Amino acid sequence: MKREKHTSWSRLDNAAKIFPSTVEKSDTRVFRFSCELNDEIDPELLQKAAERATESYPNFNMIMKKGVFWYYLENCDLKPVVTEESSPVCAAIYEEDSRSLLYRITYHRSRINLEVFHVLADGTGALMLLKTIVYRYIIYRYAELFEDELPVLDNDASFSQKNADSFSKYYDKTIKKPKAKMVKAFRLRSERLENNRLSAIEGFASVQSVIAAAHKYNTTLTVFLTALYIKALSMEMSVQSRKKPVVINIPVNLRQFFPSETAKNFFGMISVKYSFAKRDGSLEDIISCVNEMFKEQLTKDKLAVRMNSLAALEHNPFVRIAPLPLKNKVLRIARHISVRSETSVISNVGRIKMPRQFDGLIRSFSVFVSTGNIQLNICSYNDVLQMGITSSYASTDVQRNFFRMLTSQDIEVTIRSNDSYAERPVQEVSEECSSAENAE
Amino acid sequence: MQQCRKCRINVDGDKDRCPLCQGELTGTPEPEMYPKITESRFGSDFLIKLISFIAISAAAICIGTDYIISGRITWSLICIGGIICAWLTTSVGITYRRRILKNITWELILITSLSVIWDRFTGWRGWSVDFVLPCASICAVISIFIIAKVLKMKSGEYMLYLIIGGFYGFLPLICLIAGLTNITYPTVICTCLSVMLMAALFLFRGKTTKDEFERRFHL
Repeated sequence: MKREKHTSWSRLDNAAKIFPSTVEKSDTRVFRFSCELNDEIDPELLQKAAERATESYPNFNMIMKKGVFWYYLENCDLKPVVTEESSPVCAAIYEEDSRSLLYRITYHRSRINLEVFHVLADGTGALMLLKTIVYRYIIYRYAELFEDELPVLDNDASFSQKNADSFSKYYDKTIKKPKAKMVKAFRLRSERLENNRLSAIEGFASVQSVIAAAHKYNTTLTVFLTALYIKALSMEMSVQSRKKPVVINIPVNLRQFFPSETAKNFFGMISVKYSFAKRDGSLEDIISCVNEMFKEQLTKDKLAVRMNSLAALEHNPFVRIAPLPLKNKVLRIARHISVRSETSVISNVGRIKMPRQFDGLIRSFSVFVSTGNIQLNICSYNDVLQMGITSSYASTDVQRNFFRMLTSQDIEVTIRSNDSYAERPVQEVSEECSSAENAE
Repeated sequence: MQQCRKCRINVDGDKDRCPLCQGELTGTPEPEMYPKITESRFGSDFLIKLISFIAISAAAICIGTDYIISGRITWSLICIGGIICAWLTTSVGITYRRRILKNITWELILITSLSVIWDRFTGWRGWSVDFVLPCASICAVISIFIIAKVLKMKSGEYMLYLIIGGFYGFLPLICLIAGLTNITYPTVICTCLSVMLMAALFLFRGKTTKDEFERRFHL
């Protein structure tokens, strides 16, 4: 009898544990990174590049299985199959009981998309993989340009470094979270798109022009865009809902604060709160408020506290011994409650760096994250700033407010969108009716 | 590039209206950067809905006919029992249609329990524990084994189902000890087979079996 190779497996990392339980038709927990090149994509070379690149990321070649108490990941020898983009942006990836990979590589015209189920990795981890795929593809596709010298990708982490669970590494039992009262945040209320579709509208602008506008208010690009977004949301508030604050949660890459090269999840959250009932609501005032909150929360100590409160769930003995179906129910309810204290999320991936030699070949990068609500996603490559707003609402009023405010600052914006938005104006849904739908 | 005058933005692609304000666009359209998505006509739960509809219709017709013929409800109750059982087994089969081993395991548990219930409510003649329970266990374990070998599955894929099947194979023995069994030879064969299966799993696949337990039961 032939001896079988031992299948290795791993637990879900701390942040990943919540994702499979909270997958919903309207929020698939999938995010997409895309890279647009100047020329049309060659599918065969992309397939070759994808296979080569994923070999160096063993933590992506996993399938998810159900245990009695937790989900877990098991190594597999499946190879990614590159296909032409044919499903909606951030369409569901994980299907119960199907032995399939938890990411998807597709292309459309000149764009390469990598869609990842959040259980595998966070933005930073997935971006490492996309960069490697693009790097491989460009080297195969334009081999003649790099005959003398191969460009180098800034990424040299070992397999075990990429596979490390940094949450458990930095878990400190002694840090306790101060009890905070939950505030009900302002939530958008509007008709949802049919068939749980996600509208993805992205705007491209020059990084320099947005920075110049931010400098007029003596602030940074991130703070400026956050403030604009809060303002854009506030324009949709009714007089009643002005009593509730706008709360924006922002995932933070913990690798900047706690040394780690992991390609799995390793992020924390900070939240920015602005009350239109208590403050004057001018852009200047929002900027100063956001600025203060960023300064206050973006410290190692503050982030450690948040990180530990997340890990505490996993270390809670009652949660641990609950069988998986029960755990799924509890985590889903917990999420429905916690979502009430959040207006929206801003996910800023920051500057994406590729080797200098690729400058004339790559046009832009994009990022989209699935949401049951509305979410702003930002990334930049060289001078191209991408601001992608994903939303499960049919109305595009927040998107319109946001981008119109940018153009009113004399910033040139180019919009691109998938076909999931209402072609006709949408009617507002009354508050009671939609909250009943939400409670379900 | 198309433009929306009201939003003062450029619009990439080929749009009828501005994606932001649904206003008119000027300029020349360009090729779309997002594919048109066509929704499939039937949702994923279409089959389940279809068989549920068939089951409900069949039940309604039975009761109706019964009432017309005899003026009250007699034999249609048994029909409805049959329809419910058929509906249950088919929907489990459809739900796990992509995972054949899981399908067999669930069907084994479902069919044996349903036959015990039938036996109980039709005057306990013991056929369910005499024949159905041991025979179904034997068939399930043997078919899991053959399918796993034919499809060249890795041990991680079929191990769990063999283990469950092996344990399930001791249920007839428990029934025998409890004195529920009249005809014993199917039970004896089933028990022997389960002992052999568990021994083989333990001796030849001890490490894999242990690993599988560890994975499935990790806290």
